[in-house]
Amino acid sequence: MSIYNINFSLDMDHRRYIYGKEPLILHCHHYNNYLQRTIVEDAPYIDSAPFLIGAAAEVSYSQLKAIFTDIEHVTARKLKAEEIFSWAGFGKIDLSTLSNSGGIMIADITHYSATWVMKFGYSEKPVDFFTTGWVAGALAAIYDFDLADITAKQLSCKSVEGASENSYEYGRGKSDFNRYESVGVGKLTTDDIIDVEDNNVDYEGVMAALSVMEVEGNDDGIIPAFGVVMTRHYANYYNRISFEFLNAMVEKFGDQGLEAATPLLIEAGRICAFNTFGGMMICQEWDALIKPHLKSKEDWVHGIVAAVNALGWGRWQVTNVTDQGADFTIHNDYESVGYNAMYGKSDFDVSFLAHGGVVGIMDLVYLCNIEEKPDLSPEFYRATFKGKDSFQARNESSRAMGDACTKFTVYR
Amino acid sequence: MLAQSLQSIDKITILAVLTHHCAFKIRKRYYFETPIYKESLLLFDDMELEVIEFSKFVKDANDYFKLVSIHPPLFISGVISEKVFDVFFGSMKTSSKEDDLQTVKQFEERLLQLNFGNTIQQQDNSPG
Repeated sequence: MSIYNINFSLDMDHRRYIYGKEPLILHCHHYNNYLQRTIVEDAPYIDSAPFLIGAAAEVSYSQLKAIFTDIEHVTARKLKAEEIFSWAGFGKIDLSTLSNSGGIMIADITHYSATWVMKFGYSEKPVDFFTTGWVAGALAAIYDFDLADITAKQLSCKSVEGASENSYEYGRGKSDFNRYESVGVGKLTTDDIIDVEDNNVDYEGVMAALSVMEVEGNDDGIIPAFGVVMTRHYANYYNRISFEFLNAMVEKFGDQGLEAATPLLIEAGRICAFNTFGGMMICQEWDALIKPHLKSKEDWVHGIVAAVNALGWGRWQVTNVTDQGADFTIHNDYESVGYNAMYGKSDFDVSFLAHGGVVGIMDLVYLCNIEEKPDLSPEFYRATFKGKDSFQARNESSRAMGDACTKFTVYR
Repeated sequence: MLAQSLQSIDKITILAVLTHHCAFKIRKRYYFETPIYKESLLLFDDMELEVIEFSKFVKDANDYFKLVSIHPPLFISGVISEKVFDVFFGSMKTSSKEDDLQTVKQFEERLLQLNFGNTIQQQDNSPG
């Protein structure tokens, strides 16, 4: 039974979770940390901290402002913010040490500081831009400040060897991070559902079953599930940091910046697919709900696509599945919807996570033999996903570019 | 290989396989000779049992269960009527490796006390 009182909603028509007017999506620590490392370390010439912190402040401020319309008292607002943070799997924070002039906050455990070490080992510098910004946004919402009037800095991080705590300092003054106004859910269109060839997966049943599962923070405010550490994260956070990174690369290097950033962001999607989709396909929940119906490799592809629909990423469909490829159609994919709302129509496909995801699904089923429950280690990733037999994907249409939906053809 | 492992032993053997899981320090998969039903899970009376009836949503699906203990940190995940479940030991925040190993030892002693088997065969499939 849930220990939280979080009344989020599910927009079944668009396969989306919404809480406090913010679209929420499930993603794992592999993607969260890999995407951040890509932005921070693969492009050190980009000053990324201001938008990494700013994007987190953007979503928490927007969400909490919406939720706080029903909560007046500061103490109650702080408790609600702490609850949301833990429910979503970001860790445990204590806002009681912060006042309307700021202060220092200590956190025993946060998603980013703990899982960075699990994935990459100790870091040289603090890595928890997300908590830094999220709490800044929360503080502004709690005390009804403007985001422009708060400063935020991480002082110590358990991702750094020897650090005994995560600590963050907040103050009043001209903000030292980028400020954005959340676009909320964005503009959604009616999913034009396509016919899918016969298969043995009950898509609607899987969606209904998975959407009632309590995927939420444990006693530590962490969500260990499907063999990974999950978060109920913000679509607008991923979109903001990915696209600000992309924009910065284009601003600095022109078309070459776009050419350099695109494969990096797609690779983050493949990492996500390998670990999250792979973890889902070997977990006990899968064995109970989906595996009993799978009669062929093609069914395994349909099975994971059915499960992806419960992640809040939009409606995913797949057709023409063979061992040589498949066609994926994604309605209202969160990357395109977010891009359109934040920056307008795009000149290029921006569904990087989806691109890596569809390739990853085919690699998992036809290359990794996921039905044999292999150990999803980095070594196995390199031997399969980075091997010469890995699948490729071609973008056929892009919602961000003005098409009705986003489509990929996956091929060998 | 698993079947061979089980057949080669006359006693009621539980096969305990150590596997990799990045979110928990220790994950072990336990294979039993008889299926696990809700009645046997209720024997863990100090843990919180939740059964998710997937069969209500999808025809021919099986029901999923989880058993959770906070102190000591322990999480069991499995499929009702199957002969296997996964146990995740430890907490990212609070427990040391020594604590976790002690929790494993106590849990396995309890499996035997509760007659899930009368001997445990260990297998290490963890990387490194």
